[in-house]
Amino acid sequence: MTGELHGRSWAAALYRAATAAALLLAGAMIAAPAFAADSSASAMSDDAFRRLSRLGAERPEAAVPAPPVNVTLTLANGAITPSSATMLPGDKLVVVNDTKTRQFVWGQRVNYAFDYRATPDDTFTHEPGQSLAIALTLPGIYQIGVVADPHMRATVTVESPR
Amino acid sequence: MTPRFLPAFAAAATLLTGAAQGEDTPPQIVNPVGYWAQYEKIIQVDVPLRGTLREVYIDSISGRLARLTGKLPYGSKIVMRDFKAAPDGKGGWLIRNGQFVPGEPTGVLVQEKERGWGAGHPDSIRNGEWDYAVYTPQGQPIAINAEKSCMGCHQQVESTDYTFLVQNFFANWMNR
Repeated sequence: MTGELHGRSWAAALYRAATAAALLLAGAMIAAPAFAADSSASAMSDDAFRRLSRLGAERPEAAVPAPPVNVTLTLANGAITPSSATMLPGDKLVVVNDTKTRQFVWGQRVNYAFDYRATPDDTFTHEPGQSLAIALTLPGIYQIGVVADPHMRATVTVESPR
Repeated sequence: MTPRFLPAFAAAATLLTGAAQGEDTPPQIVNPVGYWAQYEKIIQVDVPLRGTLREVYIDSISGRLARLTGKLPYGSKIVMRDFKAAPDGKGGWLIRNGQFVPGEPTGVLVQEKERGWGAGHPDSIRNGEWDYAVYTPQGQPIAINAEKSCMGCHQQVESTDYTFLVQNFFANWMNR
């Protein structure tokens, strides 16, 4: 008697486990093609979404890269403003010379540096009033400086791509 | 040689050395072309708006000392190899690891500091004990007037030992 009861209990448990495994396997078979080509959620096709939505899935938001932006620093009154800024790789760092003299503007990140020379003349980068832009692609913390005035400094952080 | 002659010998040697480095003797600035193994590259400077780049080197011994002290020692030989940036074939420049790739070499510039140098230049333009030379990429000397071509600009960065980037590089190394 007891054995029969135990036997029915085992059979019921086995049936429930088999049902759960079958459901899991079916879900995996539907979902697998959606991620086969690209593991990112943004690569999910409409067809895959329709199939997954039957199981109650919600479409994840696609990862759209932010368009490049300009970050502007201004030289004026013996300072660079703002004194710090953050940008993403590919954004342009614009430097505006709002002084009355030619300036030489440089940036340095440990063992990589750049400057805004645009002509064969090595003695300056910016005419008075001139605005020049350079796209920065290498992540890191840059010190931006003006040769003629060691107090004119700013810090620009180019963040690593997320 | 007995020990009592040693001070006199040392004094004579000092006098001779001093005479050799006197004001009448132009500094013999090193020509690094062909001896690149004696130098280490420390900085790359890209000039994106005109499509050029500069590789900055320092002689290995001075580089090691500067990493210990954060300052450029006597004997420092800073070498700048200038290049056109390599084109990408689409009207732009080839970028590798976020930096320009060297193309055609255009020149080699040297900035060297030795004890007693600079005395031959007027105080109004002198760059401490630094002096300068320029070579072709193949190592042929190019005659320059360093006072007009180099010292005027470098004088603006006296606070960083007359260097635009190199002193910053080693100071940052110390402060890591």
